Amino acid sequence: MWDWNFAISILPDLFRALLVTLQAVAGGMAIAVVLGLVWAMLRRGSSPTVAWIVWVGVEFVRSTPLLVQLFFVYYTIIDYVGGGLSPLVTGILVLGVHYSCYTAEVYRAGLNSIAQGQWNAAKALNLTMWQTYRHVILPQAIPPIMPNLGNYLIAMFKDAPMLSTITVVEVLFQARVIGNESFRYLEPLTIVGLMFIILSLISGLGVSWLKQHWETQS
Amino acid sequence: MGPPGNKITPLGITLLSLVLLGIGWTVWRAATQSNDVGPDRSLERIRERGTIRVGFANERPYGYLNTDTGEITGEAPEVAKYVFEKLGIEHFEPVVTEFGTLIPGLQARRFDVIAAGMYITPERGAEIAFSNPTYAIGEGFIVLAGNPKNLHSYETLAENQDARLGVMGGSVEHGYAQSLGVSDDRIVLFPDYLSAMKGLEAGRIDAVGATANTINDLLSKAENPNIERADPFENPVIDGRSILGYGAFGFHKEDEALRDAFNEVLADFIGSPEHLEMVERFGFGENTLPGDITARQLIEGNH
Amino acid sequence: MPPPFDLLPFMLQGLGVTLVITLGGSMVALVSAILAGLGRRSDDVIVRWLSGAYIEIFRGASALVLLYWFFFALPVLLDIRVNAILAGIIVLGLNVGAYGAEVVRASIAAVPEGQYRAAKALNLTSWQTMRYVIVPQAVLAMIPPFGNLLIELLKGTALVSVVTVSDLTNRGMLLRDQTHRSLEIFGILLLVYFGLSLILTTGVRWLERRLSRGQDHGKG
Repeated sequence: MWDWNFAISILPDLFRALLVTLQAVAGGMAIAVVLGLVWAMLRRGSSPTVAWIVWVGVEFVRSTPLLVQLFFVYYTIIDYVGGGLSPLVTGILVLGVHYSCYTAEVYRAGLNSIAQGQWNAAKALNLTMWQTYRHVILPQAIPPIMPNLGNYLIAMFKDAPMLSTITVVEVLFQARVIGNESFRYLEPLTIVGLMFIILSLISGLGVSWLKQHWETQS
Repeated sequence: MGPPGNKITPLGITLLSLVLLGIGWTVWRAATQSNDVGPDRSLERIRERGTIRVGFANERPYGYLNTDTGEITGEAPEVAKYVFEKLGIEHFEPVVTEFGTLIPGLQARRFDVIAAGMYITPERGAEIAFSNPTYAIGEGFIVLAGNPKNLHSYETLAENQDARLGVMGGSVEHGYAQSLGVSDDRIVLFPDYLSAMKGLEAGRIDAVGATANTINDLLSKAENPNIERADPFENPVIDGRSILGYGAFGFHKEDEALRDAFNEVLADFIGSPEHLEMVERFGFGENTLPGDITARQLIEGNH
Repeated sequence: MPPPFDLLPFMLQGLGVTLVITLGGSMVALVSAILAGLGRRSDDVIVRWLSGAYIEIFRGASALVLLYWFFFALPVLLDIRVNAILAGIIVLGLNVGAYGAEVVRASIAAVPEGQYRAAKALNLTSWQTMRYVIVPQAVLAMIPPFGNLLIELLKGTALVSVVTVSDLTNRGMLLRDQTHRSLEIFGILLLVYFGLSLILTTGVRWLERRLSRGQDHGKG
């Protein structure tokens, strides 16, 4: 049933594909971390119209399946533009924008936890909006929300196999290619499952360490 | 509440034994399943149920869902409908899946038969039970108008280090390209042929590899002056033999009785005027008839 | 019907499957979340350990990988046949249930210590304490996170489309194969899922108001 020799022989290919998964997650997270903050700042900004539009957009993206969003972007580009972006770049963009709508909430909570006096003090010092965020608000708001951002990093990692549906050769796609060629699915799929469980466990431990680290500091 | 205790209660022991029992059962099932095959009742089973679940990959003209009528049609499903009706099975339950997951889907019993015009190959023959073939056709490329890279066979594409080929994952063309020396970084996998054609126009690939019939169908539907069929085209030669694809139906290895009954009806049907009329609108005809070759010959390689 | 509405009749035939998987999956998720959530707080080491193993496995493995494994690896291993929709319900339910277990555990842990002592003072048995004191308070705290998980489950149902189940997304893909009107097809799909999410969110809010009636919020 389970063939150890076969399982070992496919490990190098799977690990190589896992790197693509991690690459997609790293790229996606970079986008999510930056865009999320932008959404949160716009929602606190002076224009209620902009704040409302951002709110609706964020809610919409959060309420619809990532898979359909991937199809929407990937196939629309293919059908109307005819290629252009590689599947991996498309996947990274969609992952990043999708998760930016989750990180926006995290940032929002972080920004809201900063006392009003801090804003007032910055104003009294005649700091610009940018200076206020850069030197006063963010240094206080970011550290406590690191564990939550970490949780979304793990969540994004677990959603990354969806990129296989738009032909990104990440780890699940590689498992299926191996299956198609050898007609053995048990080993590749089981190994991929174990990879995810182990990596999630490790990164989960990392997040709780972050959390404790922060709590003991404050 | 305080920290939870560290007791061991009957509840825990019961649960643990249930889990161990489950694992034991799994291992036992896995270890005994291959020698534990009872009499083959596949035909009776499907007859009693009255419904056959048909797996296909939504690929024109072999097997696809007509979204206007909601009916599954194409060369393979139409032939299958005829044969199963003769066998007393009237209901068709279509299951769409990616081409690459047709064989695992069949093995996992997601459906009872593959009706996707799948080619008979020795590798696939080791995994599933094929019916006898219902057609035989060659291969082809779709290229940009004027065929700028002069691609007229898998061999010429393999020699041209700049040329990139688009195929569907799990298709025979993927295998042809690999065994004829096209390196993996020059093979681009697409989820379906229409995406591959878009990729061709966008310059991501230089040729789309598919069966001659798929290519006819795609080009007639696209009506696009920028792309054309590579002409002339030489069929791939592997192990000294020109490859002609023989398409057939796939059954589960344990369902040979069903397959044999299917073959019996097929023998009288293939090549009859009724058959030719049925498949004509999908681009098949007298010139695509498979002749007397059987699945067994194709799998054992003595033809 | 004028475009893009001509696409709707075919696509909406998958709505039933999406709803069945969402509702069935939420039942499986609720049961497994409660069992595993309580199991994590059990006095029995084995029960705690088994609940933990379930949570880590079904939360850690990606939902799509789980679906592929249960659809293509398990049946080969065991030679069993499970209806595709049922398999989707079980896998997605267990996946979301593993997240839910954490909600159950945290909500019960959040009930203040004094409540247990008060119940003890009233001579309530541990069953009565749970039934009349702890659970009613914990349930209220569970509802908003459960509402979020329900939306996650609804979104997760789209994944079954890649393993042969003919849900909304799968129907959309079939239409794209034939018509190539991606913008309209996936645009409509997104709107339909958004509408479904709104309905579920409203339902959860209503339930929350309903259950919080008669609760003392500590203002008196």
